Amino acid sequence: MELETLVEIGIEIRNEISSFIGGNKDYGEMVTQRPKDITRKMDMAAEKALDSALLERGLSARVISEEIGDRIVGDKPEFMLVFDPIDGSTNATCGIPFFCTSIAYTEKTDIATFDDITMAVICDIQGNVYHAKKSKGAFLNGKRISGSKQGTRPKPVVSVYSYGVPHVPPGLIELEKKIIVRALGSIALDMCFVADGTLDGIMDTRKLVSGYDIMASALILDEAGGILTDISGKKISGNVQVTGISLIGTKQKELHDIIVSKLNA
Amino acid sequence: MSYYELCNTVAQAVEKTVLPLIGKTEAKTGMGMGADGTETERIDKIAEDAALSVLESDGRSMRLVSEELGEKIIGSKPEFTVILDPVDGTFNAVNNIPFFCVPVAIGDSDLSDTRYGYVKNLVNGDVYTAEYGHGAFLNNNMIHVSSRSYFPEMSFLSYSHHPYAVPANNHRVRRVRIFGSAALELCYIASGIFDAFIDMREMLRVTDIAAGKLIVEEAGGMVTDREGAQLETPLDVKQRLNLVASNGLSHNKLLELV
Repeated sequence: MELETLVEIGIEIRNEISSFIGGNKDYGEMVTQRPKDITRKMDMAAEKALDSALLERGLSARVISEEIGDRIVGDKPEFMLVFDPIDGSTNATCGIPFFCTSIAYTEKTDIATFDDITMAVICDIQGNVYHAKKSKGAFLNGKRISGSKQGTRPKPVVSVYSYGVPHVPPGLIELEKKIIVRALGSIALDMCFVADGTLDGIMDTRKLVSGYDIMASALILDEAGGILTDISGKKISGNVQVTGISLIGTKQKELHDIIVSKLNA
Repeated sequence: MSYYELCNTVAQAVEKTVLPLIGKTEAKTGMGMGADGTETERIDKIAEDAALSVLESDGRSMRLVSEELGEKIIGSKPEFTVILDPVDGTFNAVNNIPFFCVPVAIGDSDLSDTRYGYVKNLVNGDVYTAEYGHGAFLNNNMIHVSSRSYFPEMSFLSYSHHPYAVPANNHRVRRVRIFGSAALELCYIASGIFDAFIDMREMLRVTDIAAGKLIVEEAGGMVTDREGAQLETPLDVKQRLNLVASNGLSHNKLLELV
């Protein structure tokens, strides 16, 4: 599949999600009433949009989806897509405009490791499109992402996810004195924000992330010149089903080293 | 002009001047020190000027308490005080992180006598309002705080420091988010999508929280300082506050955390 086609499909799905949400007049209220139903409906609408986008183009693919598992679309899969219809679904159901749809592409149809992903597209609900092609760079709205943003910051801005699990690294409290903390609620989109320099870093110490959550965003961050490791500083690898991932993503080696050393102090 | 119309006109004027600057380098050109003791970014100054011209053309005499100019008396005999943060979440706005808003409150002389609160989310246009004694509203629909009180089910918005209690207690709750716009985050408590907001950094100003505090209270929630006392403080942008806001059900347990 061509990169342009993947990007088009990502945009189509994002638009479908957007109109689905727009079709519900008061989506603040939906949350408090039946959050699970709403999530499922939104996700299903996105899954259907992916299937039609592929079939309309005469494409056949194996799709590994966070929501409904593994399926074959069409007759003879030529490639595999790792699909997360909505990353940041709590935000989506709460009316918080920070979530995205994420698709990673590999020519392999049997197994997908992080290294096998050759293209990725992430479309956020604000209308931004991030995409990347292996060895060809990462792009935001068609423009190559390079270097870091202009301007200075008093401290690096880092999205931190460390809640809800028994173990909080002791060094985290010390580390939080040195950074401006955010936690925006969509790991994949946070990673894109690191890729384009909006955020300086992301860290998730919970060991709850799975391969399919971050396969697209990992390629985008990597192609933007970023560094992605687990909290011990080791490169993240494994296949799409791998679970229990912790992560640190930055574009600055110095910041990365500081986070790794504080978390392992 | 009703309080709603006044606040809404201010917010629209701010929105018009601010949106073209979002994420642009020129938005963060330093403009010197503001009355609140922090650097004024260009976007704040432009937003405040836009708001001021709306208020000056209103015709009524009023006092304006605003983040950059501090205090300004319009006319000769102020009928009320307008408490304004021209852009709450400035850092987000200039860095293109989609969480920033305009909070406007109508009060008198103390934070505790706010009679009207208005917050407009500049990213998606949502408007939160509350009038003292008459409930809180999101886009004209009545809102109410959540009913969760069991930590493992609760979603927190929390800022640490003094004494770093929040990261240390992170494991106890379902979800922690940090968006970087206190006024908007208080509205998320009011609408029930989050259960508690904690800010122990001693950095909040009256302009950040006056509107959101009333909106939370009118939605059935509680807002106190870290000791559990009512927030009573003169409307002065130099004041610095810490704050715990919740649906009220878990408030005492939250105070133990901080």
